[in-house]
Amino acid sequence: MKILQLLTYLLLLISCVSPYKIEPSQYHDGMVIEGLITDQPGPYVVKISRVSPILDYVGHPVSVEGASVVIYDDAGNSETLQEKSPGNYYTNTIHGEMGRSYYITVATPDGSTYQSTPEKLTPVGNIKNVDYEFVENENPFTSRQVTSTNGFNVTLDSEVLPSQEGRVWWRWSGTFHIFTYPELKKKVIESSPPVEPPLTVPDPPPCSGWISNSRGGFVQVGSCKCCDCWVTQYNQLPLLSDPALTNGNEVSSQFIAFVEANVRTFYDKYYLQIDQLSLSQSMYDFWKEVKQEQSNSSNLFQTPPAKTHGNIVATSDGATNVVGYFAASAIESHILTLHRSDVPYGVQPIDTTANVCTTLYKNSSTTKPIFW
Amino acid sequence: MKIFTAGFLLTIAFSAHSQSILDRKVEASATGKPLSAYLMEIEGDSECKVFFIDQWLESFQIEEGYVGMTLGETLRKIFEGTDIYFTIFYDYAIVIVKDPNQTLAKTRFLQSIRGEKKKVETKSIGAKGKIKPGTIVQLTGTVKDGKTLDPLANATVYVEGTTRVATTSPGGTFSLAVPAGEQFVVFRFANYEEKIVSVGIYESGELNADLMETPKVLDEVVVTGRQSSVVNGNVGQIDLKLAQLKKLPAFLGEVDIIKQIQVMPGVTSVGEMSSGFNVRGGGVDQNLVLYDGVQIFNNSHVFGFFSAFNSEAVRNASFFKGGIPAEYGGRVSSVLNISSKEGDYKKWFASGGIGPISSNIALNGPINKDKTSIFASFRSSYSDWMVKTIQYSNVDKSSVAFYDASLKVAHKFGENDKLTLTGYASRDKFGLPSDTTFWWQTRIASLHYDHRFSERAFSTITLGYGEYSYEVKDNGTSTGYDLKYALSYPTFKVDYNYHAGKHRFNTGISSIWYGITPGNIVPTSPVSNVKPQSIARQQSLEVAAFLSDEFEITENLRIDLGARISSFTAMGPGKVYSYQSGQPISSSTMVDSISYASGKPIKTYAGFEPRASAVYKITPFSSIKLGYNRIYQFIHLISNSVSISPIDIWQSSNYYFKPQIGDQYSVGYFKSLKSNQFDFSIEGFYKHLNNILDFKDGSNIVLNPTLEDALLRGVGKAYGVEFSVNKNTGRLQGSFNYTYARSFRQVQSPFPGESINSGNWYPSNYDQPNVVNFTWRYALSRRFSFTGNFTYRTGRPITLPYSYGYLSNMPIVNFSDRNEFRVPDYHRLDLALVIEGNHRRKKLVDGSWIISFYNVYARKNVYSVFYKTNQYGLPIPYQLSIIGTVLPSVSYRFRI
Repeated sequence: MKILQLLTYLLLLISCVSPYKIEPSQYHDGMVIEGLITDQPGPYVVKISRVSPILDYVGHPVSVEGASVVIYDDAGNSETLQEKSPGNYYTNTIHGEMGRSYYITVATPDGSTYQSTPEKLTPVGNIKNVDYEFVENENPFTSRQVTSTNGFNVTLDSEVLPSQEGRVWWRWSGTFHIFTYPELKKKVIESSPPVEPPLTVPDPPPCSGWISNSRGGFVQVGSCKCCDCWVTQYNQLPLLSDPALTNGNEVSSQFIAFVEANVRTFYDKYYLQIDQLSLSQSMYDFWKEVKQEQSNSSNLFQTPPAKTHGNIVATSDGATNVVGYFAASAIESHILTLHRSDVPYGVQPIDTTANVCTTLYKNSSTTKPIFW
Repeated sequence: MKIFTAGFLLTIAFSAHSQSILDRKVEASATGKPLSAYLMEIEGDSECKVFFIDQWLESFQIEEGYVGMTLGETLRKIFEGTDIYFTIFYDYAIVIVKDPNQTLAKTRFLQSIRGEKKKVETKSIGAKGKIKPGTIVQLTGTVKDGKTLDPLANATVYVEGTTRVATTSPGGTFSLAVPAGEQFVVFRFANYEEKIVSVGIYESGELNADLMETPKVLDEVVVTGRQSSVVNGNVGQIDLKLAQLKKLPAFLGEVDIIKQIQVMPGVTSVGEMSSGFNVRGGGVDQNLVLYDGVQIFNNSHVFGFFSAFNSEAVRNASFFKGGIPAEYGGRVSSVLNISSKEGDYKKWFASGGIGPISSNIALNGPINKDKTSIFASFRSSYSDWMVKTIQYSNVDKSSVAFYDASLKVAHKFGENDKLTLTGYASRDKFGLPSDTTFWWQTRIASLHYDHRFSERAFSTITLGYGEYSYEVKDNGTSTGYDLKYALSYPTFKVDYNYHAGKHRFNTGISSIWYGITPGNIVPTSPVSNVKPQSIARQQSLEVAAFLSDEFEITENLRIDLGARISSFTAMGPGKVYSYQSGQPISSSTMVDSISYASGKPIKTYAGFEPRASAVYKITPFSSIKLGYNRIYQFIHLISNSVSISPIDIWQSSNYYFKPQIGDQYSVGYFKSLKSNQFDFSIEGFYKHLNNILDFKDGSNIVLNPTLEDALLRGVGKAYGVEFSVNKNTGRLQGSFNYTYARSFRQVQSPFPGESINSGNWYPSNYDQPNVVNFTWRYALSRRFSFTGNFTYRTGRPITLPYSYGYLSNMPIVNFSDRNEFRVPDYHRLDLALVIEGNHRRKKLVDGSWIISFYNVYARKNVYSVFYKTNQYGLPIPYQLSIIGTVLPSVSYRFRI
């Protein structure tokens, strides 16, 4: 029977999963264009970049520099945008007006041209109320709580104007403060013969304020420049109203965000900005497609998701594929600040991370935001 | 000794007399004289010399019939079929020679059959004393299956050492002119044991033969075309000659019909986990698989690892990939017609196999001798308990189990009537560690009544019932559900065959009543988030009538003309939704619905399906074949995976889904060399498919009551060339085939963005342009053989996410065009050593061992590519290799 068992082992262990390698030659180049004109004071920005290979998920998008971006309105006005940082093109004087339609044209240095379909700026209703509720899914003291399933469910009630036809687009950005201990950073040194655990020596980065002295020790020479970081999070799925659930002129208890309560997000407080935007039917459909693509479950028998395109098309022959949009939206914003004390139990102290604070999260900056 | 003089004479110079001696007429006075005496007479009254040995001519005498014939003719007639012949030297000497080659050949033949331990029966027809040497006598008889006693048509009967051959009629009878004397008569029929009878034929008489099916283990499954000869068979009908090639390496020791079909030219599969197969660029749902006349919808166990047919229970299987006869319809690409085994009418037998995954046993024998027989087989896995013993990851929490069973009871009411009952059941259970369990099962039963009106006419009535269903159950608290699907299809068919001169007619009608319960989901726990949902049952009726005529116009030209008229009606109860015109079909454009009462026709389709094929023999050893067929298909597999998976949805045609129409043109050249030692063929085809369905990007097909919003209609085309060479005899036997074929789809929609790949042609899921299959068997000794097979296929197309960008801080992924990428090419080598038991006939158990190695060089062939969303919200493509290592197995098969 041993032999039979062995064979069964083999059968069950033989199947294997490994990353599928896409050869660089198999990529198709593509452009990503994103811009929004609002009823708020400008300047407004149009960002142009190139797509990144799917396996290069830590890489940063390559900006498209030197493009000519022009914004037009339906009154015959136009304005050329200025590239103030690589790939970011800003307006100067134009101001979004209710009822006006806007579109952009983009000409890249390689001669390709693109154009967006006109989008009309329509008003948006007011956010009437933002509510939050703490959900305790796990005992906060049985683990270190660097990540947690506990947190705040944030919902809102809002007015929907008839001109919106039941369509609302929400987005949010949340900011929190973290603290790390880069001066405790160590590095492994080679030893012969190798020992277990490997030998390590202190290796503080200079931004920690500590440097090595001539005697092999370390001295503090200044304050830490990479211990305090502010991390920004964004919604990872498009948030859209369901026209079927838009009751008359309002939406109520619309789920917006889940703010995770852990020792980092509530080291200090959590600052949440919620934007409520108006949008056209075509932009609504676009975000819906994006949402569908994002929530497409992973399984062996999945279908390829619908292709997302947006409202920008190439207008010259041979131009690379483009994905993106230029929208016109009225914005209504609401700020919600959740404090450490709002968590119904005492949050444990932040974990000791011996690293530069910017490396912990994707959007992590040592610059203190103006609203902090 | 005059014979020695003959040798001496060779050196004498040629002299001038003409060969007048042989022109001399036999006088009436010679009648009744012994040949030797007569020859001496001739020598006396002419200048001629006749050299011979007296004993040789002892039994020959001059018959009355020879009077008036020339001496030459007379001698030729007299010596025909004997080992004696004569030559003439220098015009005055007749030398009678005993052909040493003839004698040697006979001796050698005898030695060879003794060496092979073949049984030679001895018989005598007529008394030896009555011998009239040189006469030709008529041998007649019937060839029957020794077990079922059914007559065998197209069996070969020949006299060893001569060119005298006969083929049996559909009634198994033959008539053969044989030179009187001691002869070896050989009876042959594909996949049956050869029978050799040493007959002393001294007058016309009867010689019957009962042939036994080849009993060697593993030689059970034979895939043949309708006719056994490469040169004679119709185009697109494969004769695999598995009789020689069956001892192939088997996947985990399981002999598998479907896997054997997958290595034939023009047939591909997308990987290990696919019991379905693709024939000439067609989908897996386009193959009609019949088990004793009833369709089978899912022919796999364990998600396609094994086929659902126990090879022990299969008698034979015919496969048609082109020139499909009018008798078959309903699937546009191919027909696989499997007949199960019938029990022995005389004795009881048992056979079985023990493999690492499953074991099987079969019993058969007479319930009522010569009248009623039974065949029962059962196969079951025992992998489940082994899975439980594995303490690795959470493998022990998963479960795999399957069984299949087959039963056949046949009863003969006299010579001309037979009633057969077939039952077949197959069931699978597959449990994942994540609380999800799949079950799927097939059950069929059929009743056949065969009646023979005369030698020329017979008829079969088939009444069948089939059912395919599956269930998926999730026991999670918040995700718990129970999903059920069922499809039932009572079937009726009657056909009538009539053989008149050069025509063979086949006509009949058939019908299938489909009842589909497309889905029913209920939550299994009170806190489950799953909403209960049920989709209404659908019913439909398919009816067809067919007529075909196989017409032997000349000895070298045969045509087979046929037609089939099929109709399909989707019946109520049902609801048809209507959508805004000029808008894409979606839930948001739905405007109204019409309800149909039970039994009311919702939509009817009808089709005329012409079928034609022709075989033209250029020489007895080469032929050109042509074929055309049109077939309508009314039931579609709605699948977003590439192979048949147990949770696929079969959807019948309805208001929105038109029947698929397949047209295929094929042409081929066939040649056999060195008396069938080698055969060679090249076949080309072009196939056009209409109304095929492909899913829209991002659509949902499971439990979708309005499937029309998830699917788009398109066209398909496939074309290719298949090249194959077989070596059929000798120690080394094998086959090699290479196929170049393409398969494309085109789906255009009037609405922007809906067309797949902007409405351009794109490769289908199973477009695998280059396919090579090479199988061989080398007999190391009489008991040991070394077999192998090598397969190469271009990787199949896939759709991939390949790039992304950020919009509003969210990753937006670009997917490639449909089927723009391919998985790496597939190739695999399998080897096996077959050790057969001794070939003695009288033994208790006839057993054999098969030691096989699957995927010898452990290639990680990619089955599929899927994507998992990573922490950055990006779908990352992963490739799944079902078998990433070499798989050894040992199995044992026996027969008692």
